[in-house]
Amino acid sequence: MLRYIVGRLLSAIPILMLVAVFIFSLVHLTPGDPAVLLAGDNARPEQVEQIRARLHLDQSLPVQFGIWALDAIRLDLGESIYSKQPVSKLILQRVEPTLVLAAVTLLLTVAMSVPLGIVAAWRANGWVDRAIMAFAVLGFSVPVFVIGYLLVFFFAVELRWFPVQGYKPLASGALATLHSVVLPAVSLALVFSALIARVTRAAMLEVLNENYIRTARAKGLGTFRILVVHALKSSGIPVVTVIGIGFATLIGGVVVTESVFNIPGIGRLTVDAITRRDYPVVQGVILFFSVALILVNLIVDLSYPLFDPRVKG
Amino acid sequence: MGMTRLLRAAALAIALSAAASGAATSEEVLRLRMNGDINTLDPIATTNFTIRNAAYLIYDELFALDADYQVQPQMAEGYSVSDDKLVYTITLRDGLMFHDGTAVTAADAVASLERWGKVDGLGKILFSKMASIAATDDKALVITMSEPWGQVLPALAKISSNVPVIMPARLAANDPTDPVTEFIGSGPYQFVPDEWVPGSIAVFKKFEGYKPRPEPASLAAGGKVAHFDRIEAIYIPDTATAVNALVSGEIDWMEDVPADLLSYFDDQDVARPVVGEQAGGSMQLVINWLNPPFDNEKIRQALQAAVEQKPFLQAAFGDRTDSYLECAAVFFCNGPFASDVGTELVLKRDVEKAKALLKEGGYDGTPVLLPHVTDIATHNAYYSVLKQMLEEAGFVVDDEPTDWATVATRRASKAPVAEGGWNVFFTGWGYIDQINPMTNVYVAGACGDGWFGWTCSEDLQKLRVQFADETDPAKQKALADQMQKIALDLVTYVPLGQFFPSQGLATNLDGFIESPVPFFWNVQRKH
Amino acid sequence: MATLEIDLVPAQPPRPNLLRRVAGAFSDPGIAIFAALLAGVLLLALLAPLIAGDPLAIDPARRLSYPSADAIWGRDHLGRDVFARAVFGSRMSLGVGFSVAIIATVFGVTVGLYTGLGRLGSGLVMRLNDAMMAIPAILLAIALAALMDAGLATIIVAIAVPEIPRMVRLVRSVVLGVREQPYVTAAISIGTSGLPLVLRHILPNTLGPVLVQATYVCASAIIASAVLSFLGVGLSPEIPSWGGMMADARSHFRDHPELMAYPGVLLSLLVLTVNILGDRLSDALDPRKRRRGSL
Repeated sequence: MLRYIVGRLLSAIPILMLVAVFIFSLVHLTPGDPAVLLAGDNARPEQVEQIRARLHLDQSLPVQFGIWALDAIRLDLGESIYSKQPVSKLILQRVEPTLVLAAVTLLLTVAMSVPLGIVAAWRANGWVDRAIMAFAVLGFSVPVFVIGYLLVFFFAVELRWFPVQGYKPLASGALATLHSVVLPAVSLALVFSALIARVTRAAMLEVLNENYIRTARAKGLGTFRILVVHALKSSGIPVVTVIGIGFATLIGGVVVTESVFNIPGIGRLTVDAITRRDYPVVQGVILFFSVALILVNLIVDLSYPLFDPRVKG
Repeated sequence: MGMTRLLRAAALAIALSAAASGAATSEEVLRLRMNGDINTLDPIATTNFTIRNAAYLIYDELFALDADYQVQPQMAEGYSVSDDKLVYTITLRDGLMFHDGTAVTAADAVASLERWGKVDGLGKILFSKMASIAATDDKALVITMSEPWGQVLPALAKISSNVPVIMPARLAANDPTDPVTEFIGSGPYQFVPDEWVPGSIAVFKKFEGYKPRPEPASLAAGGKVAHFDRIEAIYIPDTATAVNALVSGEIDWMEDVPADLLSYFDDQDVARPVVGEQAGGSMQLVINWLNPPFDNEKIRQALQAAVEQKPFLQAAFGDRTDSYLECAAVFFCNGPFASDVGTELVLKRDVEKAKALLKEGGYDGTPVLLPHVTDIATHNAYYSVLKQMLEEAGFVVDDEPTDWATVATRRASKAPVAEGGWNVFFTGWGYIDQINPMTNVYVAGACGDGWFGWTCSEDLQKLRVQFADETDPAKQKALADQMQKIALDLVTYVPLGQFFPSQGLATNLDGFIESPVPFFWNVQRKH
Repeated sequence: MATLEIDLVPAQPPRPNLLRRVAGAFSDPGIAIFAALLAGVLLLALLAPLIAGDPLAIDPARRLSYPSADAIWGRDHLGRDVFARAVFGSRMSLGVGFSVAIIATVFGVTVGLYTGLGRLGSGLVMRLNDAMMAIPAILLAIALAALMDAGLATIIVAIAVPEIPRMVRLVRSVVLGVREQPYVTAAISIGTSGLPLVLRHILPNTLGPVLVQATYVCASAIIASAVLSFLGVGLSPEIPSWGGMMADARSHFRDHPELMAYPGVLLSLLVLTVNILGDRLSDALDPRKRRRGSL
């Protein structure tokens, strides 16, 4: 098991390096001079040169990349052009809302979609199945910000049950935090559930036709037990895999949702930084998200043995 | 239906506990939504109004204007002027402290003023007429003029950007173009850097070491009593979301409520719109004289002929006609130097004339870059209107979406457009700055030393100097008229009409000061 | 952006005529309806100038006015004809959707075939592919769109680039599976190699799954373009796009919710149609994936 973990971790490293190169080139091969941007108000040419030297912009690109990469390993991601704050500090400040939002969304999603997928598979072809799949396709087709605004309109503006915008940090009480993320999490969960429900259903259908399920049925085991204990366990792998892949979708959804609901998370930080050409922040954040994505997929891989003991690496 | 009731109960429970955890602390909190984000608190390094507003929380000034626009001492205890009007001796009040615990000394004041004097229009004039400025001891500073000037104290009491705030000498040592990274002042609130999340929230807390003046508050002068323990300046980019937050009680104040959204205030009593005659201002199209095509006077005149004010005003204010006024007077239509000299050049739109002027100027199709700001409703609408007008007149337009913070940074660049420079951008200036020829940036003509756009005119510079020295109101008016004529002939900018915006304010707040610049002392929660 | 994963390895030799199968699929009423809907929207987009008025003309005096004879869905905050903008907006959505799908397919198939056949450098290419998949698609799209000059080409490239790796993976897995099949090894043993091998035996197998995936990519790209224009990235704000219309409509949501509803519903319907089409094609073109009685 340990060898499996170490092996997977090691294989992630070259990918991470390639990601770093890719991100670095993305930002540095575009027009515009960061030194001029940074120099700002009425800067004199000497000041621009000073800044150019300080940022190592006068070095060759590979050298610049080397410096950036080595700093990044030490978690020094440079300084934001816009606010002059260290990028790593900015990211740390805004990790909490995004994590909370993602966690709540994931919980809601699994709670909603897995039962729905199971029921749909169990009652395949019936009207229940069709209804659930209709919901799934719909949830998948409506953009998350449309759902978001609908929810805001009804539940925040009209009914006043939930806040219109903003995020209450965990420090002010977990319940307050939860209350402030309900609407954005539900918007995201509706979309994400659509995806997971479909896959759950498909995986369950495969499994339900397997011989050992037929045997269990013949042995007289109750429907619930069959569905949950046996079938779910077997369909765990594809479902968890899709959660891992869907994580990328989730990030995309989080980015938009944070804009709609004004949640000060990393998603908004990224969008703001990109439109402001705040290169250090853009590089730092995309790197952060990529690492997160790789980690999530790693965790997904490592969870396989839980579902299928045959996988042990 | 048990599900619905259950859900409802759960939501209520959550809401109640949320409210409870908020009310558990007896801290008085004020929540503000400014127009833009606070990415620095150095009001000398930028003229950005959002930064200016926030700066008033943590910094204090030597002098300030009261409700009658008279100069009053603020940090100054008193002052004396020599008989020949050349020597100003200013003494500081007792007990003035910076937020880092050090005492405010005259040396800090001198350093701060010197820094301010390098970039501010009025400040530069003051320093050009000054022989010397120095601290004689910890509590007194002396300004020696080389010639008498009636505007010394009004300059030191300047209410809008750049405000001559006092900061520790070690921080004021920074070149004014290099923003300070520590925000230490001596004002009624202090900045809390640990809770600052740029792009999201800036937090201030009451500074216990502040000693307000004994007089009642009057505009920027008088006693600045801080009634709140904590102030949060929250950045909400979307205006509709911000208004929703205001009428739900999630925030207490909003700087600019777009006219379209005033209907949100109907049928509720949590917040109300406050129209400010003095808080009004004007939008302008700022033109960069350094970059083609607008380095050519004829092409600038083509631009002037191609636009008219009405569509802009309508786009921003709809049918709320009491919110705006078509006005091309450089010094505003309701100010002391209002005039209509040369205004027909702006007010009338003539596409044929514009096309002819383009030809005369030899326009070669250089695209005009429009930095289309999307996070401020008015700006957003204006760029769309301008694009259409320009294209109809034969300009080639390059319309690029962006946000205000980026434009506010980019406008400082004197580089060519392709290297991060600019052609035009929209901005607004307040009533206070525009009515006074000494502070109106569009009649300075100071070339490379001037405000963004770097308009260059020796005539304007001469007129301004004459105005500064003139004391006869009739002659001042004549000079102002001349300045207006030149500004409109050379097209230093395009005025886009006046407006009287509404601020949004929570109804449970008392003591909000009616002012062109928002202040947050004196205001308190009704209980 | 999410596209559903298709994971298929045909166990038998390819069924004879892909075209015939696709044509057969379209005769199924379920598919025909949605294909017709899509064709209808396509027609609308192509005929836009004939059907609708000028989507760009500003008329501030009549901003936010209710439906009238010359603006059947009313006017937006700048006085522009909402119906015209909605119709022209379909061009943006469809244009981006189809272009991205085509680009992703072309590159995906090429690279997928190349690496599936294990040609020189395949290992490195696949590592690069994995690396690109590690970067969240929407962030990559926003970054690309913001870093290049605003324009339709920019948006298309920005959305297409993150979609290519998935297509590459798909094609590669099909090719890997097909390579081992007896009929392929048989063909190789009698001397078939290179281009004829690819064209006659391998490529046809990929087309089914690729067509399905391309459909999903199209739907995903339509949503992505709406997200990008909603965030104000990549396109000049006055070019009519459904995402941009929704962003503009935010401020007027209370008094004019229809300004958000029109583009929102249109967008959802289009994406729904394309997604369902993809599902149907998937069922028809691959027996293993046939979900009995799915929607």
